[in-house]
Amino acid sequence: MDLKLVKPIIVAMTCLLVCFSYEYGSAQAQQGTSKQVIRVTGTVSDVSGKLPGVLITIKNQPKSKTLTDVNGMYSIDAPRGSTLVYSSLGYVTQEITVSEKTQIDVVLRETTSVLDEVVVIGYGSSTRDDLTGSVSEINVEDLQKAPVFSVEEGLAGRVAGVNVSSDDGQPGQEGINIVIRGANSLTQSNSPLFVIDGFPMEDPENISLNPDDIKTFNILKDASATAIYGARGANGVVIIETKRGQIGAPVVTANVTLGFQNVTKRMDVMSPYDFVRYNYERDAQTTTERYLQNGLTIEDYKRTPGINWQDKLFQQSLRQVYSLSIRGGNEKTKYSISGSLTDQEGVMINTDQYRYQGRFVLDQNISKKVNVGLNVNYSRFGNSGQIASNANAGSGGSSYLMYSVWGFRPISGRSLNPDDWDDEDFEQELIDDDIDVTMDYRVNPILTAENEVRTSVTNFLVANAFMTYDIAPGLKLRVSGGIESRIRKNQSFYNSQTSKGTPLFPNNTRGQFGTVDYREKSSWLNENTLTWVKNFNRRNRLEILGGFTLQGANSEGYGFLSQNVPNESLGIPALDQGIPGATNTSASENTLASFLGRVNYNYRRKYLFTASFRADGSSKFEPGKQWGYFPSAAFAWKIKDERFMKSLKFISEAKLRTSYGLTGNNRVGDFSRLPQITNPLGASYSFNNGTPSTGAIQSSLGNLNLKWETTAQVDFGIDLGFLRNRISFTADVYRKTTYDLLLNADIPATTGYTKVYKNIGEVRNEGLELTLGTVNIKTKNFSWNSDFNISFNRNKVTALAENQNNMLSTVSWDNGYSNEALYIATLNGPAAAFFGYLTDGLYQVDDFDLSPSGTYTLKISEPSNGMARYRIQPGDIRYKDINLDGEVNSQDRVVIGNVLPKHIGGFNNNFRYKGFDLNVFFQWSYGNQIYNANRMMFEGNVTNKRDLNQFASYNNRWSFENQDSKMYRTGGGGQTGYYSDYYIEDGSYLRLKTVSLSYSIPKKLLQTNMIRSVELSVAAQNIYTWTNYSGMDPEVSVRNSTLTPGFDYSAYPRANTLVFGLRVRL
Amino acid sequence: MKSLYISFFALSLLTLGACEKFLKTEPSDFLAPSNYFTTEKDLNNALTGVYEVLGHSALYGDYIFYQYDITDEGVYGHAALTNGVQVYNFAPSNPQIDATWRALYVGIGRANLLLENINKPDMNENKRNIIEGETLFLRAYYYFLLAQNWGGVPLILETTKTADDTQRPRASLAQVYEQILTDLKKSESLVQPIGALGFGGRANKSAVRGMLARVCLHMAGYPLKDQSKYAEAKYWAAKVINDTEAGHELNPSYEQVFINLAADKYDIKESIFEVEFWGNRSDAYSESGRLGTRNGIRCLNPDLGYSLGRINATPRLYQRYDEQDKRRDWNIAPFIYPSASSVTPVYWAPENLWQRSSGKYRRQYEVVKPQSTSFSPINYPIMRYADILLMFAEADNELSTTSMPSDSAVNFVNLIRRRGFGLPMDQAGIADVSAGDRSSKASFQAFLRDERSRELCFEGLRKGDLIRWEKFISEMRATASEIDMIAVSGYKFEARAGFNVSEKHLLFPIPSDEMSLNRLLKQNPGW
Repeated sequence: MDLKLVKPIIVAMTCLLVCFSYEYGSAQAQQGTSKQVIRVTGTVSDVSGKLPGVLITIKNQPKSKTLTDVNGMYSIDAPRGSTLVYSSLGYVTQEITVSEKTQIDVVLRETTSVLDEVVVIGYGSSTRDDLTGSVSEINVEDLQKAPVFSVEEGLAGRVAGVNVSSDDGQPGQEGINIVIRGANSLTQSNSPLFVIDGFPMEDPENISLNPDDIKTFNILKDASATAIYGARGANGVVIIETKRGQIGAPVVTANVTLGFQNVTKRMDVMSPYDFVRYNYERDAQTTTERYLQNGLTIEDYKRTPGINWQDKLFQQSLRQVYSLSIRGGNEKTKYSISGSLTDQEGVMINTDQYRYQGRFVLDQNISKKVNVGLNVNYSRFGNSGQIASNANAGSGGSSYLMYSVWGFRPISGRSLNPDDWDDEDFEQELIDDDIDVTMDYRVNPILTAENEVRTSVTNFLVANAFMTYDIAPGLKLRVSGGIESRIRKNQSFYNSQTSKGTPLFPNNTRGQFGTVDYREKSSWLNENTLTWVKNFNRRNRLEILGGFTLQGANSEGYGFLSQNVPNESLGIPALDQGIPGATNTSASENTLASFLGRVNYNYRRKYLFTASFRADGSSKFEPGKQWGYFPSAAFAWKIKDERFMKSLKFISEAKLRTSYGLTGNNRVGDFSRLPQITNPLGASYSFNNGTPSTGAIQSSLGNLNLKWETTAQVDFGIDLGFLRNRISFTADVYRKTTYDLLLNADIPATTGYTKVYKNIGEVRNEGLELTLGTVNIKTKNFSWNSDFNISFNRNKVTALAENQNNMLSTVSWDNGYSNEALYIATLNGPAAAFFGYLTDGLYQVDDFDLSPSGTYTLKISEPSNGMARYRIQPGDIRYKDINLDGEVNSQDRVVIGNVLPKHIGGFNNNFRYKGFDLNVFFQWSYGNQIYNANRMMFEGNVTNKRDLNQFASYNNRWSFENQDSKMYRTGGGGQTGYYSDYYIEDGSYLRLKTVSLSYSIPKKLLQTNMIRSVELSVAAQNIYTWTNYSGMDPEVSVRNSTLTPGFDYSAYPRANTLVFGLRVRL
Repeated sequence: MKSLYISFFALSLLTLGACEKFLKTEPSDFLAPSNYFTTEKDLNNALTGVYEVLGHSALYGDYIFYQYDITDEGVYGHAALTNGVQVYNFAPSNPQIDATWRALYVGIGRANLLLENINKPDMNENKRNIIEGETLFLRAYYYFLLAQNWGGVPLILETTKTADDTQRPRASLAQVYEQILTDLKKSESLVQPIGALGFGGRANKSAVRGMLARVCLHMAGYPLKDQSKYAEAKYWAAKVINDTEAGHELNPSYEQVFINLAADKYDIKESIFEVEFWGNRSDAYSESGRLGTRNGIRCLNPDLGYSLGRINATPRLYQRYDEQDKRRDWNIAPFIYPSASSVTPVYWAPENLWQRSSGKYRRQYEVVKPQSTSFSPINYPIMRYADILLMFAEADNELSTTSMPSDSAVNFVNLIRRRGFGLPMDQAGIADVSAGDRSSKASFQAFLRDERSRELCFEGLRKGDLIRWEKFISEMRATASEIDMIAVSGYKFEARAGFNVSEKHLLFPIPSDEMSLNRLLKQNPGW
């Protein structure tokens, strides 16, 4: 090396070194003037291992900070005597004073006190300690342990005041209903407003969310919390935030779960012997012709097992979930990328659901004052298969899937030998030859389920972005915007081996047919808020929020039907070869403009005040009715901070809250207010044998006076903590009064219309919610935490339309009952109660005069049951003759059951032992009743169908040999069209809903630094249900609405799930 | 920073100003009534909507002949049905009754809307008058059906304007009938002659006049018993008969009248007003009905005109016919096609008079192929010339001051009978009204009543006739007793309707839904 060159380099390096040393020295010199600086190193960990990404700062020196690395190591220069602050989300912040030690290892405790947690509320956040409203947080970690397809499925019982139930078990079409603090609206949706990553959605397609992506899940319940969402806040607000990137090295999480599902229960149906015996009693002549030929006797049927249709329809189904996420970032850029695949077969053949989903989240710090963020979720999800609770071909109770499953004969009578069945018998035939196809739409349930094509697939994109600008200290502008786009495609095809497509039903006019239907919906949102926070003289804190938002939504749909399709084997792609049938197109739009404001003020963090106001203008209403104004106010008093409480050491927290406010509901159609002239094809008429001419009709009356529905809610709450918050307790009482109900009201037919939207009626919900959280055991290796919640809600209609004192509702399932009211909403009673006839046991032999010829004639002193008196026989159903006129008719109907639970709740337990983690979760509903219409068909055969199999329970029916039976005799069900309490059952249940056991493999066993953790788990859902309900599952409501809950007919069975999981973090 | 405050403030203000515009959305997939009715075409489309109600399943699409027309002529032929209108065992909540009530008021509402907007478009006044006349006819006819089945009903002559204006009391039956007459008379002056139309599917002068005669006969009978209306009935019937321009006459063949209906052929001489049905539902339209499928000849072979044959003629109707009366074996099919492969008819044993299908509407004559098993394009005959003649004869006989029927009355009936016997219209003899039957006003009255059944059975007129003659209950009872006596045990169920009938069945109940929604209504007696 040339020395000439070396020299300048040495000089330069020396210079640099000198410069560096100078810098170093001056820094030292500066600090040295106050305190001596030492370098502190160490590791930060929690009970399960090292913690990366923990922020370490020096108190009162905001510029000095560092993060722990991947191995939890850190090093920081700190003056002796200063305080190091270790903080990480989810952990209790710890402070350590720097003394002589240069090695400081810290073990962080996970947050047990929730008070310091940040709670996301509408247009902002608060610490739990400073909340004035009633906000419930769902423990997302517990929720994620449940092996469910969508988060909603796991919600039931998690939070007080939130009633979550599904209509039945249909994959992807469960109809999950989330009702917060009781239903306000009688005919309109009661589902809460969802705000996902700041984006409010009335119809959020929660199925598109990957439960693993969720970071926080909060439910705003009282008016103080919800009124900031104004016109859409009345049903409560659910705020979901998804996971974002965190500072630190990339964390890769891969997750695989595989498992199985099975039906939770099957119904016992009659054996061939019992079946023939029953039918013989029902109709001896036909039964003899069909089953007792060639010397066969009823007894002979004991020898044959018959066909078990349920076994053929139900399957053990596969469930698989794969997900992968990468999250990381630095102080300027944080990112999160995640994706998942979920595929879940149904427990009935040829049904399933799936979701493919990806999410990208980016947070970028542009400058000191400007931050931007982006959050995009794309999801494609769908489901397929026959919907059990929907009618198939024909009409009436016989056109439902489960009717065919339970009702199909176990034996045809043609042969007793099971080996013959496959070839000659009806297992291969769609329609049982012996049924009357004009009155009974029973089909081979296996063939139709296998052949029916029904799919629904949705592409759903949500993208939103925000920018915040710190205008000045304490003053922040946030501008956000987003779009949402969903395209749903529904398709169906019915070939000749399906109930709807078979030519064997004479009412099938379409031959083999199919439909394709597209629905597109897109919406956009812009929100602009300004927040100003100011502390005055250390005692007063003021936070002011103001803003305005604009949003719009467009929807359109188009679809067609093609019938008499010539090549049915080609299915949907060849629909164009069929004859075009009905087409449909639609388009609609709505806009919403809002101004909002909120003031939070507290004095010494002890007296907390919140007032909020929102004005919403909606295009759904006429000018003049468009704007709704929704104020609220709340006050909280942290009584624990008062001097007189200081002595009560065992109380660690005490806060009183109260709030009052107005919220709204605008869930009507975009143009429900307008009268409509339409030209539907159905209004055509053929003149002179010509192609039908177009008809123009006014298809809706419209109501230009339509306006918001308003809910006024008052809430009192108390939050208590004991023994350093090892016990925490929250209680809330509330009263919600909803007036100007948006009601799709029935109007007299003389108007020329059937229904019109009106603002009428008033509904009140009152309730009490209690939540108790306890840390039962906490030692180094073992801990046990419990959470218990219970809620009571009472619902009352305080005013109805047109001075009505009741409102009747029907449910559709069988023609004989289609106009019979099963539900009544009475003034000063609940919005729904079962309505019908009260049973009075059965007619017994003593109630009759026996003639010498052996005929029983009902004594004149006994009331009839709606049938002609001569047809009433011993063992028939008997009703109470309420008005004592000797006849039981529509005048004798009364309230016969209550549909709403008296209380609901959940009980969650977490056990932790070293690397093992056990979660046991119970959920219940108590006091609600169910109308079990399945029993009308299968425990008595009220529609009097031939060769219809029955539940095995009906073997115990009344007969002259079995007069103690409570079940009416064969054919003794009385008048068709009578709903009675005979079929009402207690729907209370306690469900062991989730059990999950996981084990984290200790780091030392992994023997590599590549892998942060490996967790094995086994989880089960719907494990066991304690109930008196005789049907398949007590969580059922196949015609669910506020007015018609708790009806069971042909529900898709509920599944229990068992999955095995592996989670690896790199 | 100041500028930012200002711009934020300005933006808010801008938004405020723009809000009104922002919140204004216009529907894109339907029109408003206020901007419709601007052209002749709009009026015609609205008129089509008023006609469409006629073919609704709750009216002539299905229920009227399947559920409601259970009389001494035909009964429902399925044992399993123990409840329903067909067997007179139903409650005010019955869905069919409710659907019919609704359909009729929908029709009235559509007519009212059209009448209120009739003068809006600039158009030829003649054409406007025709539209108005047809609309008035239909509104009157819907009220006539309401009046026959429910008695005095709320009389709605204007469209409902707001959602709050819903409570309407019942008008008296006389008021309803007066309105019907008013509308029909105005209609009569406006609609076209049937010859100008060339088909019987639209309201025409003959149809309106015939309907006036029918309405007047109903007013003259039970329950109004306004005897003065016989003269009016006779006047209107005569007006049809004497209309040389229209030149109405009986089709020489009774069978051909119904073959024409099935074969989509018009015969404006005889068939004056029909409900039009069209197609086989192999397309998107739903304008086919169930005439002939519900109440056709039982035939399970889809190629020969599928029908379940649910309406069985009664032995009483069978026995009403003379041996040589060809109408008997047309109206009461002596055979069926019992299986999907049947190609030849299987005849009933002569003594079996309880299982025979009504055979008036025969699907084998349909020309629209392929035939649907459930729906047919057969038009429903609401008004036939034969009925005009019989109405004339009836009114004339009631007006007779001599205790004898007039010759003209008897002659008109003879025309019908000769045609029924398959004889030339001018061939007097065996078919003619016998001397005994024309010997007195009363005997001719009795004969005419039977003759109406022989000629017009299964055309939806019988129940109304029996009620206005105050014969309904007794006739139903007698029919049931006969069935109970002669039918084999498996078919005694056909007596159900007759045994179940009671006084309250003279009227339908007001649907229970309607009762609960309109507090001013009073229920019909017995319900």
